[in-house]
Amino acid sequence: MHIATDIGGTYTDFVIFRDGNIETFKVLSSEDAVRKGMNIVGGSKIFSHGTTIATNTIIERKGARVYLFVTKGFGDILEIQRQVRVSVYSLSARKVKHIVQSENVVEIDERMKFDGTPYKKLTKNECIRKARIPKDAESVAVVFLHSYKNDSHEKLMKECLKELGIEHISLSSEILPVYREYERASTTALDAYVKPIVTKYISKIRREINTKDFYIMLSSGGVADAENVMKKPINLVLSGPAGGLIASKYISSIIDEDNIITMDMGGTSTDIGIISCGKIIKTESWDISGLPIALPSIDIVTIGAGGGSIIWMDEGGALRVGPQSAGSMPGPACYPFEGKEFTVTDAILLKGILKDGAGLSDDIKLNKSKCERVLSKKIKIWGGDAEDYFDGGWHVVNSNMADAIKTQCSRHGIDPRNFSLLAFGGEGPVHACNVAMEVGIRRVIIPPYAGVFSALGIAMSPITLIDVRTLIGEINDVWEDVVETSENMIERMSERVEGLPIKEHIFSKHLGMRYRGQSFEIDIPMKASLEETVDEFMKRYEIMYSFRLEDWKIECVNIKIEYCGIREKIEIPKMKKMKKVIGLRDVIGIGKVHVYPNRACILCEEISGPVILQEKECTVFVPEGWSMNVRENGIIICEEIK
Amino acid sequence: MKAFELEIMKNRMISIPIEMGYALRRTSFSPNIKERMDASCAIFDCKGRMISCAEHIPVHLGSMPRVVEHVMKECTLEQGSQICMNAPYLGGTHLPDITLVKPIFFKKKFVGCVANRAHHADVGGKVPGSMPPECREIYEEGIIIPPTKIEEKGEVKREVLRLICSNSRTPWERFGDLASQIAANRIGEKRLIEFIERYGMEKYDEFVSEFFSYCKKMMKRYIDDMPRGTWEAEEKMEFEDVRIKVKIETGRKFHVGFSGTSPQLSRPLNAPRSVTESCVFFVLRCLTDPSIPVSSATFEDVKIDIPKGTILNPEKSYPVSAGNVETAQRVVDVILLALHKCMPERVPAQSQGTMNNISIGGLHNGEAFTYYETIGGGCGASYGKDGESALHTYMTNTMNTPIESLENYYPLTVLEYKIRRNSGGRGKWIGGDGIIRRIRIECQEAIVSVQSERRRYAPKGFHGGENGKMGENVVIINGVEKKMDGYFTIILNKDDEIVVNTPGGGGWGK
Repeated sequence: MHIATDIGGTYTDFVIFRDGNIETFKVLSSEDAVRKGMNIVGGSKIFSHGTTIATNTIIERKGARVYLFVTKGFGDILEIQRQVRVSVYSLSARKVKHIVQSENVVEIDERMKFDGTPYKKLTKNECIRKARIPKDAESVAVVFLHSYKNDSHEKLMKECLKELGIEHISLSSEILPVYREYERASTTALDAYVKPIVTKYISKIRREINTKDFYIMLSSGGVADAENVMKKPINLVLSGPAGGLIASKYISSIIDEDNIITMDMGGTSTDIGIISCGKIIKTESWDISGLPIALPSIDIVTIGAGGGSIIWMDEGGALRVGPQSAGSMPGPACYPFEGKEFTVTDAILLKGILKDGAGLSDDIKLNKSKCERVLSKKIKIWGGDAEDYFDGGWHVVNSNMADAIKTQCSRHGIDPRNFSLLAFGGEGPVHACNVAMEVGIRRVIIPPYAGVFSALGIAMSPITLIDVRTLIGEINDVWEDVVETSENMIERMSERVEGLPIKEHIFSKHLGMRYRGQSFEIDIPMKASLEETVDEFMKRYEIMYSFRLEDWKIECVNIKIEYCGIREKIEIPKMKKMKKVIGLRDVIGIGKVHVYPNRACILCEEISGPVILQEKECTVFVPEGWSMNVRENGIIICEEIK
Repeated sequence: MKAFELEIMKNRMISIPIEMGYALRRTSFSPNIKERMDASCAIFDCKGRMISCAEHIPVHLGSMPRVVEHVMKECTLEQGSQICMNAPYLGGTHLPDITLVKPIFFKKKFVGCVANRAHHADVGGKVPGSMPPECREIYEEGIIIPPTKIEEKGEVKREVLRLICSNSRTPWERFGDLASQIAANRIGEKRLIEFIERYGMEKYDEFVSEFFSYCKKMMKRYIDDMPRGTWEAEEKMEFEDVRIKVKIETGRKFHVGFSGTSPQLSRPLNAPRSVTESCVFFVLRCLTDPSIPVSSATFEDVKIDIPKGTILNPEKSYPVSAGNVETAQRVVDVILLALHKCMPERVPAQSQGTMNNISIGGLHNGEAFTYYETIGGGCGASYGKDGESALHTYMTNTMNTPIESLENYYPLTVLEYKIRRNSGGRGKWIGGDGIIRRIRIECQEAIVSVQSERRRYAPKGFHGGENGKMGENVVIINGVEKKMDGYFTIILNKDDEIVVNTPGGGGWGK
């Protein structure tokens, strides 16, 4: 039996794989959620877990008291940052404050040169003297310049801190042995910040679930065992959205569709991700609430468009949607709370795609007359007809999401019209076809288990490890060093996964390479020989930039080893056909529309739009000119009719 | 036009130049474009009015429309062509900024242009990087390109490309950057045509005029709200005591005049007219709502007079490479000084008002190297808010060079990079602190050149707030400290050091 859980803001989702079947359930999120869920399941198991503990710790600034030990002369590194402001058009910009208080910075009299030789050697004496300073440290981050090249000073510092009884120590040479000191310092400090909290959390869950097979979802789109996670908890930060992308990748493989854009739309925002040629697009430079983390992570762009996004009229007379949101409390005007704002969900309800009185849960039933009252108050100020606002709002939010997809694609040089759109999350499926039309996408996929989709992906994730090391030099000169270093890295990685239940081990070696004088490197799969690797670089370069340079020096910048360990395969079972039930509903601007209560009743049938599928977890709206087809495993494919 | 249609078409129109920018950034070579996004993209209607632009560097704000204006005047506009130019007296900023304009046709009818501009790492001239601190004429700064066709009937004109590239120290890099600029414009063209196909020509025209009145309305509210009056200020620069004078009249229009400003110089501190206009637009955007879309109509109620032949509107042959560096910062300072009594609660005290340009060049192991960087400083305090420390301010926002990257490439060691504590002016709200950057020379000999301001006149505090501390440039030769001026060039030897202490921001209120 394999159990996967994903902890969200409101609910904790459970997915259980037992004898080829899938069961799902939700419990309200609380400190106790995992234990409660596990009590319901019982039995021995593999346990995979997605958690927002690291993310929330950082966002809410509730981490440990961190001391930063840093090379003398550079104590203000986290305060200076990259000396830029987030918004250019500001005369009184403020930076995001980093998580280390300035009085908790300790400068150490040491200095490495860029080539790894000491400029100023670190003495044991200096270490011991400075290690005594932090009396109240809960966690320590050590960041010395050029430690990616020579980590001996950081190691010595760690020894002394350990001797003095400090338990949680993050070394920059272990967390991110890559040049660029601010990003490395920020990542290391954040690791130290979440380490005590994550360690405590994992130990607690481990006691509750009582199993050795315990895996946790990482930002990079794989899982790792609890031991490896606790060594580098910063890897957890994008745990949640990563699950959704893995599940999308799985769906893409069973329907033979290599190119997918994912759209996960919830109450306050929408996450957009890309799978291109079967690979999830990743990034190595991202931040969490303004603080950079330079570790590989899935590339997700978030826009402020969700069911709770507020529809409003600006002073210039344009109808805007978001980025402000009514959230889940008070939520949209049609919720049974005191919502005074007109939101996207209200617009869809008035348009008739959602049903008056429909229940999202036992507590929340949509109330149409309530949102009519709110809108009529707004119209007194804005002027015009109700339809301008609910129909207009519906068009604006769809086109906002389409614009976000288009720009995200052009960042990666991708034409979205050759892609399919996979929509999940509570609000995604209702907008999907209309967003696709705006983008020029002709195919939409709605997966089964859309309400617990992340948890599904967490169970399917392979075990992954990534290790990066900086090694700068002309490729001819450093090739032997590159070969040796990469073998050492693989050896150390193999040790880390020893004893785990893995069906297949895959190691891949990549080099960051560039022509000398450039400031950006590109990732090249490392080949057996120097000549082949250089050839590969030239080839890929030409594809990207449409020309090659002969006789130009080529540099290596870093080595990256990716490990992927395949666990037990999981498959989505076939669905059983149910008796067909058809309802009818008036949708404004469209007319009478058929409504089905679940996908099982139209299994393996082709239905033409306009049509509404109203399930408990989500509503799918298929417009005119589109068809809907439910596959036997419950995957819905909507296509534009040619 | 319905409110929701305006919103949808406006958002699409705003995202087209953003998409162009991503394309440019992804494939370009120069670090300035790739890492710092020193580039801008824009769309123009058939009358040359800017509809939408994505400008990442404030100095491009005012100059893109001027370029298109000249291109439309001087060139025959043909389908499948692109025109490139960099001439500062025709709307450019300085020579490294090359702009490419592409006229767009829909069913054979001219419907507008797309354009993009990027900062190239080298366009020739007397020093690498094409921004020589010591030059007397523009001809020393690199190749001058008047509006010239670089693409015709869909084919790139190789000989033009070669002519430009051959004038650069890094020709292949220019080739790559120009190729990506050409490609970015093609993407812009595709998107604009898709836009017109989607909505139809009539709707496109209707949108453009509605959108212009939208932009004008959004900005007008703020201009109308400003207390009416005449506001004047004058400040000196530290190079030959150049004087910058401004007179602003608020009322139905926002009228800015620069009469009384010093004449142009045979030094690269001249700021072309479009740079000066950009400074005015920058301040207005900061003091109003920066989310108001920028089009030609946004600043329709802003009138700017700059007498010809002054340092803020130089004639053809005068050098301009540093005009958008130090001079532009001072123009912003003067405008803030003029307006601080008009809008006390909106206008912050003066920030560091310089970019602290430092360049170190020489020979190392037989290879020439040039390191160039600008250093952040203190931000002025404002009503209700302390100023931020160690930040790039006003017209620049470029990242620092990581020390670990710098030391890998240049024979230099950074000994200290810290906040210069207590350098911000005191007051009810305190100005931000500057930076200390100390660099040691590790090669036999290096030429160090610094261009910086606020070494003799401090950034001003407002409403009783104290001034920020002035910046200081110090060299340490054989262990002996020597204080230097704001502008200097000196030869240093191995183990000598240069220390730049950048100014603090002014305080606000007592």
